[in-house]
Amino acid sequence: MIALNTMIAQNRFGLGARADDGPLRDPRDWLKAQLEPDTSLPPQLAAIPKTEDAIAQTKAIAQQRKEIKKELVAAAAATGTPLEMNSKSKPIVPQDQKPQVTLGDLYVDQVAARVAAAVATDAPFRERLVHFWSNHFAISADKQAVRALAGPYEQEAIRAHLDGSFGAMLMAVAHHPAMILYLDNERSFGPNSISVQRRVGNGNRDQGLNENLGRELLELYSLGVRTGYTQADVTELARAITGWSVVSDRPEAQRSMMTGQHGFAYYPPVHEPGKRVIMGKTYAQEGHDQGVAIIADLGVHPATAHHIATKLARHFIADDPPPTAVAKLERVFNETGGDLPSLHRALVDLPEAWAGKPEPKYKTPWDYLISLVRLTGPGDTKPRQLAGLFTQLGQTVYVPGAPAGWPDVAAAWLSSDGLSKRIDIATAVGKAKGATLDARALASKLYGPSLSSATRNAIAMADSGQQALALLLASPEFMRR
Amino acid sequence: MITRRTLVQSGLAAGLFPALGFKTAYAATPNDRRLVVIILRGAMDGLSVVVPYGDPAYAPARGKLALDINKDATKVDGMFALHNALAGFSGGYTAGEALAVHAVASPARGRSHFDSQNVLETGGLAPYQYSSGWLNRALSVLPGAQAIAVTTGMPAVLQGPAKVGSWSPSRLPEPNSDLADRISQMYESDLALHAAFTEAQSLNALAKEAGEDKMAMGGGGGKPLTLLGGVAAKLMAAPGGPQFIVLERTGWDTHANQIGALNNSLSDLDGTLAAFKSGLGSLWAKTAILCITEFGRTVAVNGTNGTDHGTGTCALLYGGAVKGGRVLADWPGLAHANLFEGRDLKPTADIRAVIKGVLADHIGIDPARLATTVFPQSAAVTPMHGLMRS
Repeated sequence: MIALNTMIAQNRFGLGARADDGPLRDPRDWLKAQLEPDTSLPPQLAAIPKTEDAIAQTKAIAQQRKEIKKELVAAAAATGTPLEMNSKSKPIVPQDQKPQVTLGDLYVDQVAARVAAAVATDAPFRERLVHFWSNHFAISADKQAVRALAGPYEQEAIRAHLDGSFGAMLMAVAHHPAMILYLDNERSFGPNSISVQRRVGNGNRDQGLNENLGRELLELYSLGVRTGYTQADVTELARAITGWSVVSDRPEAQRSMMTGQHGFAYYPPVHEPGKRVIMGKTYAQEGHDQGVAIIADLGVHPATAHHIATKLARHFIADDPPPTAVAKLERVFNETGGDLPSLHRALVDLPEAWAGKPEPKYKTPWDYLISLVRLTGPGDTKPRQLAGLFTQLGQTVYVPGAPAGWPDVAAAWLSSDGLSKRIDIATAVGKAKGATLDARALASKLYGPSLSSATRNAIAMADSGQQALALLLASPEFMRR
Repeated sequence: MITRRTLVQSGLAAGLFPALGFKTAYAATPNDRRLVVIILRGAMDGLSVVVPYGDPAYAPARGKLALDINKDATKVDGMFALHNALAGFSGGYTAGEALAVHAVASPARGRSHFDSQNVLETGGLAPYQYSSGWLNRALSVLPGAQAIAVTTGMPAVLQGPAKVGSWSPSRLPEPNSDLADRISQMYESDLALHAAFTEAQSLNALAKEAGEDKMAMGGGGGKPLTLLGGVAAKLMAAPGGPQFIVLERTGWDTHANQIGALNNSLSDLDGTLAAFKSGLGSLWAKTAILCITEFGRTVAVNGTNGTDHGTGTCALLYGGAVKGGRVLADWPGLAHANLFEGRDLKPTADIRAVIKGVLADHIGIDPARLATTVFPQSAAVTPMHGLMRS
């Protein structure tokens, strides 16, 4: 039997208890110990490429595919045979002619590594925080340009800044090539910049601003939607970050580019000249410094504090978080300048997080599968099948489909199809592992006194170990955290 | 259609719908009509589907992708022909229950699949402006109406606060009936899980009747949507079946060797439409199927026998409730000077007008609600009336 607080620490703050986890002597201390500065990378992630290398691989694969398809089309034209098409209307490249490594392979390897790290970690609260912030600053790896960048992005922009301030993470995100490519900032040009003026002079077609990154920096990543900024502020921020781009190997680009970390590059000739005014404040800085100054202000803005406090409280307490908890987190954010470890410790100290219903949050598909594997042990599922399981459950890893990231409320996840698929998985895992895992012992160990009589009875009266384990994995307790 | 008068007479208005003010004859509760929305992801080449063969600029502008009007397509009037892979839809056109709206586009002009699909489905003016979809917001003004997504994951058009069911084929074995009963009993005191599981079980049972196993085993046989459409039609036709169903199909992004690719996709779409017609039975007379895509494709052919991302395209509407046998278009022409940005079919109709027309005249939603709740910022976009028989 375990104390309720151990259950909450392991399941709500952590990623789910493992079969061999013991009771926690002090659950709060256990959580806070995971917040000590840690620059190491989980060993399962050691093979995740650096962004520069992943971009080079992406380019090489695109080039290979282009050449292979050119040859296929030419061969088909020469012989007069029609090309076989896939369901996406692309020529089917025969297996033996495919590039040795595809973007899909790189993506699947990164998903498998993320899963392996989440399953193996002894610091599951810390790992959950990486996932939380990664989802707050979401990119979506269905865009080919960032298909192989989600893993590197998560380590370099998110994990590496977990022990610093929110503003530093925001700054790293805004500079990261994955975010720049995802939200098209490499295609955003100052209309009055030297480069565009020269092109217009040469009769080339207009190039202009792309507001995508500017808008999301305000709306999603810092202040939050409808917090007082205007469309004019969006445009001003987009102007301020013109020139924030990625390293190019084109000679004319190389002449002007100033490189940063992880393959970031700043191109002065496409930067919109002049001072910018955002929410009434004038930024007279030149060049790259201008965007840096604006984003630094966004990182400590009171609206940002409220936005972040609300999202954290929603993730760790309830879909509709108690205003008292939000207010406390907001105060910590404002008092510490958005220091993340202070915020994370404050979460642990919130009485609201330990009171109320024992399991107020319906698990996302990610939470569900990770907690299931942590409890029952990894099987021999191949990485590609594993990635496919998340898709079947409706949450393709690293592919939320929009910069807003995955929703964090039950309304988005508690669907008939989603529940049905979870139960199918519970059934399959019950069959595979029910003979060796004692569901009665596991249920008692996981939930202790908070186990409902309905679940306890269902497991006790099961007709086999397989059925008992399936029932535990399908139970209302296990669907929530 | 239920009016305030009949509601008041039945004594329901005060008790069940206290918050709604009924001002017009438009429904505030679901009628018995059905609407299927099929989202064609990847940008369907409207010029190859509803072919403007009567435009003298068509053949020269389309070059080697211009369809042979005596072989690849069937003339339906002096201006347009339908692609022959849409044989069933063409038959529906002749029978007066299929129509197309041409030179149509959403407000998106960026030619990005992601952004434009988001605009198409959320019903805003810019990508990611709204987090809910227009069909979910339509549900919010039709208390009691049900929708089911027959897709993996919830499509943006159905995302939002209104509760929506979902079903998709599973690649995993389901629990046997004994285990299912035990799960159901275990959920008895958990209302949310019990409701979702009960719905899942009835959808799974219906799907099985409709041949879902065949689909799981055969993988769709190159026509993934046709089999799914058969299942979806059964779900819709079942007692208490949903008023709305959403399906989706990728495979329209024909950058290379468009002819074969489009043939495959269109025959799958046509098979899906036929599956609904046969599966819905008598309900077909009350049904409209709306096929929409995020944008069209370039008028000119690219270097790989395909077309690139464009703007204007066509929308298809089919069903027993549709006043068909027509192609509706304010045709802008394909001469170079008439193209949008010198490359694309110029949109002369807003897809929101088409959708609003269907939601008003078929489903009976008050146009005032359509202009505020369902498609905010669309007051200037007049619903396209007259698409339906009544």
